[in-house]
Amino acid sequence: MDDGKSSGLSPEAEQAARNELLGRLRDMTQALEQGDDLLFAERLQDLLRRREDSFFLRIAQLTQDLRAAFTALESDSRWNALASELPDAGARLDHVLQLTEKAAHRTLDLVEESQAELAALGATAQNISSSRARLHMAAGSSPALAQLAGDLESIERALIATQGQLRHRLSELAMAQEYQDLSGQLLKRVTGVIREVERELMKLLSQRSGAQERGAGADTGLQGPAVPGLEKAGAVSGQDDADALLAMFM
Amino acid sequence: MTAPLNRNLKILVVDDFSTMRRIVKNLLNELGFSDITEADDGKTALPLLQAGQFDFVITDWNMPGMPGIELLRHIRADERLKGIPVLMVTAEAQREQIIEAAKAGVSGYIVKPFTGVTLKEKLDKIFERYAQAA
Repeated sequence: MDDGKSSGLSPEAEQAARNELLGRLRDMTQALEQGDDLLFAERLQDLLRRREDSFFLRIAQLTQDLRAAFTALESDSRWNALASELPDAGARLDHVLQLTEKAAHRTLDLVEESQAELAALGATAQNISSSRARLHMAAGSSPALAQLAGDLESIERALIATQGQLRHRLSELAMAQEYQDLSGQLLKRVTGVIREVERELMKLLSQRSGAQERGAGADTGLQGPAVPGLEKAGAVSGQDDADALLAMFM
Repeated sequence: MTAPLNRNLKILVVDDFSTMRRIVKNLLNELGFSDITEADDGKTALPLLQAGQFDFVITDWNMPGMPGIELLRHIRADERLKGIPVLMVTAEAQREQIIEAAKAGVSGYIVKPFTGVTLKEKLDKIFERYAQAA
């Protein structure tokens, strides 16, 4: 606190102050040596009063600086421009959130429709299967018909294999929409911060003081989705790590 | 060896993001479960649980209204609900959070982003554990 920069004193003035302090301390030592407790107590009081005075002077200086800073802030139109742009920024991010949500739902709609069609295709494959079985029985000694039944069986197998692959891929496609939940959570977090900054800035600009209410972005203590490069200490490194930790409590 | 899954289980999926509820529902459908109900936070989930015969709960953590951890505590504190397995599927990966969930009696914990394989694995494990305990 008492560095030369913040005291604002020139080196000469500082040296003078130090000399004065030394003189006072010498006086006090002398008083003590002479057993003059009353004088010592008086000198000590003086010294403390001087410290207090300079403390209050510093506070006054800080208050003045702060007031000047506020005035400068008010007259700087960039702050007002920023304050008016923040709601736009928040609204734009809200819009991004809605767009991703809509796109994810659209994709899930298509996935579910495709899954239903694929299930119908599976039923068709079943029909082929029973037709083939009947053909096989009717073929009797006809090698041509037996060959046909064999051909149908390989078509059927290929159909079932493709159906399985498509089912798996559709499931993966649905799973990939998870990005919307994670990016949505992050966007909500950022819009929360923007709205908080906006609120505080408006407060500052209108110079209103008083009790600070916490906004909607109040900290829940939760960290939200992990962000590359912004990993928080204390987070697990993945599902295996989470499993190991959980296992200790089960 | 895993215990065979009972496909008739009545499952409640709790998440404030409708896309996530659909994704979990889709995965569960693929695994053969069809009796699935959705709720968007703990506050709407709790009355559903108290009214219906649910066998399983899959819940997010960070939700407005009532977060998943509170829902879990309510379930564990309710004489009629406390036996229901609760699987948490959440982006919250802080060690202290996982410990908090474990202490509150969570049955499984999946960190988002996750895969269908992970979900199946955790379901198998939980059912196996409950089958052994039964």
